[in-house]
Amino acid sequence: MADAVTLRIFRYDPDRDREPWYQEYRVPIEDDTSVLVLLNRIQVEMDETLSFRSYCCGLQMCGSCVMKMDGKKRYACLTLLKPGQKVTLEPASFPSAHVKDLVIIPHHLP
Amino acid sequence: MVFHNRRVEACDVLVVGGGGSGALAALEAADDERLRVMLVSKGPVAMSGLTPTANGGTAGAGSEEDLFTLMVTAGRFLNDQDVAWFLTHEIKNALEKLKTLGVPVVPLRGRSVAVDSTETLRKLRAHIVLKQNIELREDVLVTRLLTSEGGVSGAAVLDRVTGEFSVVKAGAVVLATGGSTGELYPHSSNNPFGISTDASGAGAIMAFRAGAELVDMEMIQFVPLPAASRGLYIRYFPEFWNGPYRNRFGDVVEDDVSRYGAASYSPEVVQKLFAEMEKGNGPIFIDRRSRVATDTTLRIKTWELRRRLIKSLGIDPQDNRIEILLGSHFSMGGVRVNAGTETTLPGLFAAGEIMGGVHGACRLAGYSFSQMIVFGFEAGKRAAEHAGKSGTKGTLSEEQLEQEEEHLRRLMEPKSKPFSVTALKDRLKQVMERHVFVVRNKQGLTRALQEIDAVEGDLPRLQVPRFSRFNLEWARAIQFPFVVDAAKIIARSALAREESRGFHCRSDFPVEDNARWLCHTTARLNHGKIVIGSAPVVLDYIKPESSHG
Repeated sequence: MADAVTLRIFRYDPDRDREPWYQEYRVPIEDDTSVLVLLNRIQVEMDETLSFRSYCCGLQMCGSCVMKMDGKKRYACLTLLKPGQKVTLEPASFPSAHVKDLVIIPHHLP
Repeated sequence: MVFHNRRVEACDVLVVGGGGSGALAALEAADDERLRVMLVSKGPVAMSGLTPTANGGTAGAGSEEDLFTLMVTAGRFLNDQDVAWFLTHEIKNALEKLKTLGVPVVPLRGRSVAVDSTETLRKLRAHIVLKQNIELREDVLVTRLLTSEGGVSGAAVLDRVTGEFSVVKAGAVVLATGGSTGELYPHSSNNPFGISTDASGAGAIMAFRAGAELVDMEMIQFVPLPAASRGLYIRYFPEFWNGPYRNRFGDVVEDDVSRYGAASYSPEVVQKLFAEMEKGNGPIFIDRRSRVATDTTLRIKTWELRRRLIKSLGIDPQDNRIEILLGSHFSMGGVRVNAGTETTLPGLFAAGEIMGGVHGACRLAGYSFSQMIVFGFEAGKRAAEHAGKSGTKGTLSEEQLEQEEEHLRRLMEPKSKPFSVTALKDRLKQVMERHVFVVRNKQGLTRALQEIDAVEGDLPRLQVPRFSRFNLEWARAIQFPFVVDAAKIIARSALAREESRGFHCRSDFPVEDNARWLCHTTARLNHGKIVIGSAPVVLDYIKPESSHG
């Protein structure tokens, strides 16, 4: 039977929000699933306003999807979540280089 | 709301696309210190586009003549031979130049070399940032090419971070925006793990809408893709995937693909696997467990990384039986160019996968990386010469800009029965996979065109959330109409080409017909209508076996 993962995601649009907030999404999965795949699923099926860098080089190489997971910087593309797991996702950098939600300008990292 | 701040900027050479071709074109153009160059990329360089997904290596076994003959033979003589000749004879020089930029070029067997694609882009980006006369604009989406007096005069661009719209006037424009197959089919090597790399082919269609001619858009390379149980397909090493391919009953469908000109990238292979699936004998598996292990020691860092990744994901055919899906890989068709990367539109140059007529009816492994380097440099050089001479930036009509702003703004307005981009894109992909895929026929293509028209008819109902800062849906919605146009042109060109050649396989015209079809299909915009025609292929050096002409 399908079980769900819970992603607690940092949300902040400096144009519209006074301060950052967190939103929880429960996504049903059957098998270990990559965080980047889950983010794509959330954005397409649950919340079109979520912003993240959806690009994938397929190699855990380019660094586009690097973000903080439970406080540690990791590649979203190849970090697999198991059914039942819960994780907090935050941008790799904030407030410096931050754009919106999980998006940062990677080449501006301090 | 969004467009209160329209800016107008100017440069001499505008390069669109942050992959290898674009980066090299910008650096080459900026060699002339008097010129101001702007490089615009819809994502950060080395973190966007298809270059970072590529294995990265050039073909180089044998002499230049051998490379050329191999290329044209595999391409079924649909390559423009002046362009193919230039490509094969310039690889050596281009690689030497790449070395002077500090890019590590590792010799492999024969004269072929490996070039780490992501590392290359990082190196090139570092050079670009240091270059005084290049302005690098990342996370910026070009939405339209602007023309005046019959030539290209600039582009309209949208800053994805701020949502700000602006206009860039340019003396010359280089399009290095890549191929168009990633967004057209449900499965594509362009989208590792099934995640879109945004390979929309928008550049080619922008060129088309501005008046440039496209060629051979029906020529799309389809390949077997390794799919893990989770439906994650990733790039792989063709030489480890020679077979055997078996159907669901365990019968061998294809024992060893190395006998075909382009090995697992050959039209024969994908057409055979497709036929087997059509018979209801799918899914197809590749299984090398009983074979002698291939020597998999890879000296290239990222190649070794990819090999380990494939192993750790459980999709190494030496460890497991791996299911195969068929999907798109590369566009052989694209913007018509000559060997100097000039398109049919004055001031517009094209480099990389966006170029049409280079690989003919089939692209060989290693040749696209060569294409990227050779024509990246060449386009930069030619665009710089053109911008230096032309000087004038043309004028941009206020009307062109108003229209474009209006078009972008409308996507956010509420509709009565709205569609999401994904809903329409999925529909289009299904149509393309059903009717404009590995094997085509008149009935299916005609049906496809009706269904593509229906998708086009629903475009005014596209609706995206209303905010301007890094709005993923907005960027996708802006690009999607280009994808629809590409689909239509591909289907129309496929319908026109009444023969089978390389990757274009017509069940109703199964034979290669050199008497009628040793020519390009062309697509051109005429008073707002797509006109499909034909044009001669440049056959300067060798001719097909059967035509002795």
